[in-house]
Amino acid sequence: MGEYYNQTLNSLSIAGSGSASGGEYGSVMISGSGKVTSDIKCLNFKAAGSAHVMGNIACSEEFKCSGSAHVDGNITCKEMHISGSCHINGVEAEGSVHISGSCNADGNVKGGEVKVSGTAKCGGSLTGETVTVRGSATVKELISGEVVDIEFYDLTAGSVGGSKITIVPNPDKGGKWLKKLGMSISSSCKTASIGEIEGDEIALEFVKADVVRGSKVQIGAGCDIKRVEYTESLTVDPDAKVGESVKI
Amino acid sequence: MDGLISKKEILERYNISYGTLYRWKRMGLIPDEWLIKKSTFTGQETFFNEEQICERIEAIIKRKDEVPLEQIARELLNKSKDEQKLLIETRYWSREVNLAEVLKITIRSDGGEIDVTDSVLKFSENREQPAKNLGGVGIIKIK
Repeated sequence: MGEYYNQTLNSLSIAGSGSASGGEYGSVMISGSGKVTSDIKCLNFKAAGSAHVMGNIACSEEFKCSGSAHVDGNITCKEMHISGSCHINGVEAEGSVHISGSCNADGNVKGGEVKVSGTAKCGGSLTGETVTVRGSATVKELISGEVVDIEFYDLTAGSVGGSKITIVPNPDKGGKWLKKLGMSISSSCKTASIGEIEGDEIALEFVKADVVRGSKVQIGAGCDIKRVEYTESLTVDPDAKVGESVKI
Repeated sequence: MDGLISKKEILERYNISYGTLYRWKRMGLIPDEWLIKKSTFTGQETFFNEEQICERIEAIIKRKDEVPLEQIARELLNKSKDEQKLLIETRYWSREVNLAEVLKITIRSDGGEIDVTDSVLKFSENREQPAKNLGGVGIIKIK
């Protein structure tokens, strides 16, 4: 078994073990162990097995990885779904980027709606109109969105910027049961580590940050912030530490 | 600071919010490379070239009520491509040419010639690409 090239639809399917040259295809499906040796342009790309693309992928529709995919270059697509494991350089999606598995991007991840319920690692920035995290994220540069809604298991970011920013621990990590028992969740929580947070409305819990700047700022329990600058309002939980706060 | 203006001052001068500024940044209206991080007594702060950022923000504010921001971003991106320069630096000299005027870029060695025109010009479409070190030749940058 090797590669099957459908001349009529101009699609590419690798069901066994094989490699194919890059180029323009309809649908690309890799259910075995497949390698594509250069840039590829297609309607849909699906990696259910193990795929290695030695170039860029330009999908006019969907990029889907339920297996394992290693893409040396960048991906542009309408929608991206990763339920498996993916290592890419970067992605720019017109629509949604859903990561329920694991995605490791050396560069930037950009989409319309960006949702991480698994693990995302970016050497660059993670940006979208809305950025929702219910898992873990390590972002070297910036997390940015109109709405940034994070309930983290683990979170590290260079900076976070946007309009409405909420960063709190994921209650599923044992915390909600402790809360029901009336106990503090502090002992079960990791703390998010972020350099700078800037936004219009900011609400934080268990976040360690160098500086927080915003209009309406709420520093909740477990936070350790070196400096807060606010223009309209600031509330600080008794169980939070703020080095200095300045009304601008 | 000389010729620089802080992000905070920009927000105040033009009465725009953090949300708006980050939105413009995501849309490419404010390029990433315009942001200059500096240490101040308050910690790390972001600055811009004052003339450059003010001109851009005023252009956006002037047109944003008539034209979608996406269109303004496309126009500005196309305009900036026309003005892009290819900069070649070696140990002994540096040379700058308009990217639009470049016909061919070749690496010549004993083994022959390699046409790298497409590879280099791709950098201009992807701002995140770093400068390319070509070993003994030096550094090629798109700016």
